[in-house]
Amino acid sequence: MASTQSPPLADPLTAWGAADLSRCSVSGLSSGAFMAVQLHLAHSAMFSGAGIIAGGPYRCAETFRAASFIAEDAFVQNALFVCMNPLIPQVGPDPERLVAVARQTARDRLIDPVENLADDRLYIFTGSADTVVDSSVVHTTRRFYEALGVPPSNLRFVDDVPAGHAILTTNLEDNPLDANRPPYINRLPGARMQSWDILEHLHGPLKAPAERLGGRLLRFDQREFFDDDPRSSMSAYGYVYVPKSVEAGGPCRVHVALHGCKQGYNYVDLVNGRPDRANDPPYGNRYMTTTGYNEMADTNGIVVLYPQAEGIDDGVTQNPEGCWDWWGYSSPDVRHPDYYSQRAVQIRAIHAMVSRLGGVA
Amino acid sequence: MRLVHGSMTDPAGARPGDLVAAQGRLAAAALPDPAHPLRAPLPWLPLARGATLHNLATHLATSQSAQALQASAALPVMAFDPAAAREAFDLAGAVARQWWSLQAQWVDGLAELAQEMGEVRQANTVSKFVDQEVNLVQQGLALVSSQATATVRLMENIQVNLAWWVGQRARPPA
Repeated sequence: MASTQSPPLADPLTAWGAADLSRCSVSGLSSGAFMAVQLHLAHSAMFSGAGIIAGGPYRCAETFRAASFIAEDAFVQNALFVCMNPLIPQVGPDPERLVAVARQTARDRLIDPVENLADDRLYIFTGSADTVVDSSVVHTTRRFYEALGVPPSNLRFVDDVPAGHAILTTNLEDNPLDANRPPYINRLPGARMQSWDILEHLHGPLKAPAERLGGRLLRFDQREFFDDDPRSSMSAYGYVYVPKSVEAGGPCRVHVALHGCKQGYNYVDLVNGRPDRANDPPYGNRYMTTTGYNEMADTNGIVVLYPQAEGIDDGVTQNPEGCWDWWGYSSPDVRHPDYYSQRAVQIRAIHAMVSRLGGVA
Repeated sequence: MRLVHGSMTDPAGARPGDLVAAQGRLAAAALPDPAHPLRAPLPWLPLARGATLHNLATHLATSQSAQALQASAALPVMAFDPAAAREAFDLAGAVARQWWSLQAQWVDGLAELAQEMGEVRQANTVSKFVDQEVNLVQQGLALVSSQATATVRLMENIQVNLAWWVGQRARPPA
């Protein structure tokens, strides 16, 4: 939940002039995965690949408008019961229909042309023990991208790991593999982080990850990117990992890593509906420090951007768990939501951050 | 508001003016606050919650009436569709599995509570003993509360999924 006091100003996000903005990629878990799909489609000229862990297809929450008389209620109910927990696959999202919706959205110039996706690379993962976002939904994400022309050779689909709802690491401190609970970071037996597989699939063969980080994880003030608009449900600060080689002026690529619900740095768990500020959970910054992105980025000249969402539940914005918006809570007009387009406040903000990294804005 | 009890680090010292400040905050909560225009003042709360419930009930009734009409149009067609019968069977099975899962969570919760109640725990102060007893009551209430919420959520899940399933079959072919 958001603090009632405005946090102090932090340093602005710095440009890294050598960043190649035509080879950016994005990945995310859960709500971050749904947002990764939206960001990928909205700016497919900028993003050439996406890593999707437990995420559904584009505009999934608008599948069944008649779920409720009120549009806002219908989108939330679709998100929960069609896009996360359909009782059987036949009542999940319809990828063919959503492809048509995506094509129309592109014709309306609300997103980049979908033809850009044809040579993009996709990593899509669903744990076979996931009880939060049903695997059948993630299968429709694969079908959605295939129908948009992504060739099978560019698409790596993984559904045979008995994992719960989580990004997978090798950290001994993380949850067991089949857990479906916060912080949604689970331990995979073996020696490879899931983030390494994602980055390698999206960017091609990479050098081995660093055993000791040489770069820096920098905090920056996010508020300039969303004009402090409370509808954005974004935190005051974001984070960016900058390898040493990039600080020294070397070439770089940008990867956007999107956390899931309850994973933002200032998320506070709710007890009986109230934020439990006396016992802040200890995993606020674990997504950006322990999931392995930085180690792989360090040796490969990849700048990793970690935008941060935060929980707000104030009667206007219903997002108590700090999820990225994939059902329209940030839209000014709830009957005609824009959360999926280049106009969306969160997509505008993240796009502006990436542009800043490349020295464009 | 304190949400967690029984910590040795709970603030217990008194400061002058504590009571006056608390009364001031209560008085402020009873008045409209220009800084938080959406927050209802205390005296209006029953009315505000009642209005929310009324709106929700109205929306629900309207949506379900429309969905019932749609279902009545689709049912005659579905009666002769073997695929529909198979999917209906699958839906019923999925609902049963979700219901059993809820039951499992309830039984697990009761078992955990019983184990904790059965443990002999030391208390060096009366306040800690009271705290232990109240914690058990709160854990019992939390179990009932989470079951109630999960049950209502399952009902919503069934309603939306059934309506969407029927809606797809009532849709004219493209």
